[in-house]
Amino acid sequence: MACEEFPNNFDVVVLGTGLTETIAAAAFSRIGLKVLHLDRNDYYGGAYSNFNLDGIEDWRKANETRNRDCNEDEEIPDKVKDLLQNGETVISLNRDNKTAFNIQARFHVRERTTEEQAKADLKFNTFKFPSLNEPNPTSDISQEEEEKKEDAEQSESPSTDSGVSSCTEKLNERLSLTTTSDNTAEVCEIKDFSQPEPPKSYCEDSHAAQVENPPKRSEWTVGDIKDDWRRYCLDISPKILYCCGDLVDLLIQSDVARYCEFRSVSRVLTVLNNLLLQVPCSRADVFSSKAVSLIEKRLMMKFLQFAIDYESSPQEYQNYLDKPFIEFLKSKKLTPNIQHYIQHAIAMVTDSELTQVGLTKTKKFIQSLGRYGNTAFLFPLYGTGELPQAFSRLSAVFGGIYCLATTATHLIADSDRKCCGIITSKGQRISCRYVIAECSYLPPSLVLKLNKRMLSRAVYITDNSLLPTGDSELSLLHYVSPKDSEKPVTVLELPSSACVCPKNTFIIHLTTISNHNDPSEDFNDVRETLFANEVSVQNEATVKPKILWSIYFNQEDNSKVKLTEDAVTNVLVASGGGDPGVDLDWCVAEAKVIFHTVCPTEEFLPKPPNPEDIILVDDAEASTSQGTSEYQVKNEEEISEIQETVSTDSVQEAV
Amino acid sequence: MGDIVTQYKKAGGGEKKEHLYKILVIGELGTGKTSIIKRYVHQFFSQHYRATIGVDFALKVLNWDADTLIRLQLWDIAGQERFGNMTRVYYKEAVGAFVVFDVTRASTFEAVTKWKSDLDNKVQLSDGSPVPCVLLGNKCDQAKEGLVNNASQMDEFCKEKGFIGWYETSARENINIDEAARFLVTKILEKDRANKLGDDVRDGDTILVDGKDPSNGPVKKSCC
Repeated sequence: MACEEFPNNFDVVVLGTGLTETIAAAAFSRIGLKVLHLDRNDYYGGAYSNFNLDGIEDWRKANETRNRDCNEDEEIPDKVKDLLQNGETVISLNRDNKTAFNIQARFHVRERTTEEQAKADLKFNTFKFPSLNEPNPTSDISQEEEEKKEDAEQSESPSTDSGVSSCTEKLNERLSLTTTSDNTAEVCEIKDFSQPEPPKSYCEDSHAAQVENPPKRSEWTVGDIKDDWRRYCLDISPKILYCCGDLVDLLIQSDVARYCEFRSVSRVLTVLNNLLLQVPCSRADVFSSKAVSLIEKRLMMKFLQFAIDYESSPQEYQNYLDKPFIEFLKSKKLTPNIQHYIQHAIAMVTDSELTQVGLTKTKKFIQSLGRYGNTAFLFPLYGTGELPQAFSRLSAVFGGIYCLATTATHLIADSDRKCCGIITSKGQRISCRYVIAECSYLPPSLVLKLNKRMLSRAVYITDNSLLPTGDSELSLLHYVSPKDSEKPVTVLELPSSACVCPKNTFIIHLTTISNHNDPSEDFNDVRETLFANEVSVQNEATVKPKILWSIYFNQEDNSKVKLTEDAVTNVLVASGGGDPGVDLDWCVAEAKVIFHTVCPTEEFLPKPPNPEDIILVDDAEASTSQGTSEYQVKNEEEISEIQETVSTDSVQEAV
Repeated sequence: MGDIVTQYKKAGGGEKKEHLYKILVIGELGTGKTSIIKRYVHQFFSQHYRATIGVDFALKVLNWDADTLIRLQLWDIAGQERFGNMTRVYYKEAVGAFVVFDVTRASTFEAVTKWKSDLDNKVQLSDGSPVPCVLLGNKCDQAKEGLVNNASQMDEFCKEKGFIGWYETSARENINIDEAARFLVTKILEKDRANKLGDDVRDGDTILVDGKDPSNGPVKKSCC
């Protein structure tokens, strides 16, 4: 599929399909610039990618053989030299770059026995792929026979029923949930509209299907997990979105939101006095919570009301601006419980972080409550890795050309040290005005990594929730180890309703700043506290979730980067992920800076028209109309490149 | 997305059902995917299609029968198509697909298998079965090249690769496009009636982030 050459000229070449780069690429394409977007990997997302169970194994293996940086002193090959013009020089780029280290993955359950395997094979074949086993009466339709065929198919009895879904579920999915406390009328209206009584036959079917839901397993085997390998979406940088954050606003403004659906992160958990419990965050939670006394309720409400508009009462906090947030909280005479909730669950700051940081984060959290339900965060269905893909789709829809498993081997600089093009890994010279590169594509001589640290990450597949309630909850936990309070662990628990794992399993992501050479050691404390101990499973099985599969790795923190002083001009660097924070709003800011450096006066990702509102014009009309709309390509050369048919006959119009 | 059924009262008092189906149109560059979509949706054919700029999909509304209205979203592939690197965003929740090749260029037929396996890898119906997929040999008004000349071998090919059927089409002469679409929609409706379209893992709490801000402005305080 990929033997074609690229056009030779672009406005912008983007290297890497991480979130910052894809947002920037979408913004460039959106205003009509010609964008070529390459990624050295054969998947989208770079450090923000996600994989199914097979894919993450491939990723692990690929990282073992990778090199850290290219050899900048290597000889420039003759075939590259031949592509250069007078006065031009080239700079070697990283073709392959390692950003994940010390990866360890394993199952924590036993293999299937031979009998179990035979049984599973049988079930797998009958239930999972009924269409493959059916006699296939439709494969040989010649057109004359088609009528007959259709009759025959209709009389065919429905194939073995393994569909566990129902139309009613499907209907519910489409609800744009708008549950705010003061908006109940609107919610009802939406529900009335989109939840009609399903026809009888559907109800019966769905009932039958629900009976067939997989039973909860008491014991798991490797095969049980591997059978569903496709249903896992394992993020290597799991992130959530503040409901009122810049990324949510950008998704709405740019209409990229139409490519994504979300779940609310419905619970914020905390460990208090060795107990895992749900933090009351919203007004409703605070008042209904049994964990806080009446006096505490008033104190907490009062503080949260102050925090949402803290700037207007500076006298409250100005003496604490250069002191830790925790000292400010103490000064407010809050009870220890309330202090803990605010510091660790709402603001998510360490003991040393300053008052200003704590207040800003508290405010953002509280502002985000209520926009999409009683919660501050959203999680994209199918994982964080969907977001770069959604922005890539927007860029492609507006003409951006995407090619994976292809990169630039060299930057071309003219005699003024200005970047004027690249050489691709397929040996093609491409001229462009700007190159935007994720930092791992650039050699050490061009880019400075300001955060010299690693993150440790763990991803678990478990058999249960950390705090089971029977409902399908997405949970966030800011876990503070009693041993090192400066290195908290961010825990994100995702159920199957987030479309990242099969029913009856959970994905639990853990992130912290690396302390040890072995990433798994960074999670010893949290693992002992929250998960069932593998040895003494019997005693604890009912209380704590069992880890069925795990992966640990270190990831380089490339979230703060800048170009070196002697870098060529017209090259812009994008960070490469790996920050310990929970959200991605800083990527929006970064992409905006990149965009406005190249296009200072253009609008950043304005809303595109609704596809259903666009009237497609025939070429004959388009060429005569004077006011070319922005959706018509203006450049003749471009038109000839992208014509789907070669013939030059005049336009025909039928009917 | 997938299937959305809404019902409303017909004038006569009966209920009319409305389905929304996402259908993908994939295949090599220059096989006439855009021409087929435009012929089907807009009833015209032009020699000079530009790559589709700014449009995700074309919408075709079918009055299927007295009780059923079907809205088909036909998703063309954008700039990324040229190198075969589709995003999951494009594939997800599709319930049917056309794989298009050009009968005058055997190389486009060779790529059909690759497109089909990419499709099956990235999207399945809720029971894990492949989405119904029809193979289209376009430009059949011109001289054919390769396997497409042998109908029984084509049948065998489709069976082996899991296509539910194949058609020779011409967007220029308007041959077989309506027929192919009708065939695919019939199969989708069958799957739908057997409850195989939805995604079983989800329930009612999916959130669509859209401009219609439920709380009338982002800074609204809910806790106070």
